[in-house]
Amino acid sequence: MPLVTLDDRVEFPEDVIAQQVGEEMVLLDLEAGVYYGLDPVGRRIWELLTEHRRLRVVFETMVEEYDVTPEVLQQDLLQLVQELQARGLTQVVGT
Amino acid sequence: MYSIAGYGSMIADRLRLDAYAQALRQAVRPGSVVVDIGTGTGIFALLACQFGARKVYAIEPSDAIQVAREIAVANGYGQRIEFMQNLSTEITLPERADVIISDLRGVFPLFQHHIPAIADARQRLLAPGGVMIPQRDTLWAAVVEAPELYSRLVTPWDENSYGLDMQPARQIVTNTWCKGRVAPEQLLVEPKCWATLDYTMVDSPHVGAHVTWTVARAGTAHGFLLWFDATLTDGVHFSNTPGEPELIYGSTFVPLSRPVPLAACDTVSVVLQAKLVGDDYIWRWNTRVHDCSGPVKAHFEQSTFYGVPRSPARLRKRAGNHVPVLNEVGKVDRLILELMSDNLALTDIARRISAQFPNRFVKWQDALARVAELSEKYSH
Repeated sequence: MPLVTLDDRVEFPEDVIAQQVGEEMVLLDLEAGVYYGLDPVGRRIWELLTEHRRLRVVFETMVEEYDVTPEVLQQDLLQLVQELQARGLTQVVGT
Repeated sequence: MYSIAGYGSMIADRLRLDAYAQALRQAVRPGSVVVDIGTGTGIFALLACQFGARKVYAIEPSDAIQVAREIAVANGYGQRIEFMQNLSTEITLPERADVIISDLRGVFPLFQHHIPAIADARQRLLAPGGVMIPQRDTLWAAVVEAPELYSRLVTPWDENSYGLDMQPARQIVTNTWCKGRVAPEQLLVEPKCWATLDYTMVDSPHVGAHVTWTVARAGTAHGFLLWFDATLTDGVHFSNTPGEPELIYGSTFVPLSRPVPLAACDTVSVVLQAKLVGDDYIWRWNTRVHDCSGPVKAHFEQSTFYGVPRSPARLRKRAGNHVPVLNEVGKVDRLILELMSDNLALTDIARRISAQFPNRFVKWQDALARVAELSEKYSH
């Protein structure tokens, strides 16, 4: 699987649905019948991904929202998206 | 699982029972082997004997099967019916069946493991040329004006005389469905068939369709009504259509997020989907309403996934990416299961559990209930 970059954007499979629960997010892959949990930061990433699709826009938005170095934020963001793709919860497409 | 009284209600539905009896009478020949899946108190198995079956295998996982055994003996069929207390997917038979009969539906055919059980039975238990009863179910949908059904769901949360905001609960209830009945004049559209479950060939339990209606008469759309028609065998049917005599199944009301006024020539489009996840179906209904000139005047995305209150802590523990650590209850159950492999009686296991977990089980008798519960579930 190619590495995800900030130049990529995501699409969402039809069979994945999400619900905010408290400060967290639960995702259900209807096809696989498996639940996944996102912590509050992961939840925010998911919200921005569904709104913007483009990883660079998500990154730039979160840089303003979180007190963390851009390098750490970029690594965390790309790592989560890579993991979501590996689990079939998103589809990463190049620009 | 049904209570015995619940099985009685099903038998008391004469339209349903008479249709099943007619289908069975047509299908059973002298010498036939019949499999009755979900026999309950055994009515189909008994009728199969009455109609001439040589052998009936009556399968039922619940303890109701004990009552079925007694009834079979009381009617002189104790030798011809072999009762098997298990899931049909767990049993093997010494011979294939000429007829497989079942009614594993709940209110609606998309109920728990109904379809996987039927598919498994057809593949493993049915003889070539054998008959499935029912043969197929046809699923119907319509947009309905149902203020009473809708009010029953939302009024407790919309109208609060103490000035309290109860909207979080409204969000839950408008993402659930309920059994509900309407009169034919409450339909705002012509019903449409959105799926057919052909039990002679179905494999997948998942069903979905994109349905579009042009509104036939102006009114307020409160939701969709779903129902099914059954074909038990050639020429033997029953229907849950609004206006027909009510059967035990009834129909299902699926609400919209909010009522939508409709004019004749508006269009209502819904992507309706039911997927079996674990032991239950997750329903989704994504609705768009277009007015006569085209613009969208309502758009809702709803799902029974959103219709269940969730605890973050409990959900976290179900997630695929969760790494679990056994709590004390888990450690108790693990030890009980381990001790069940050591040729010990339940009281001896209970004594050891009590000794190992003295804060939780002060006396061994306190532990015995839990030991007995796991023994019932996991032992031969």
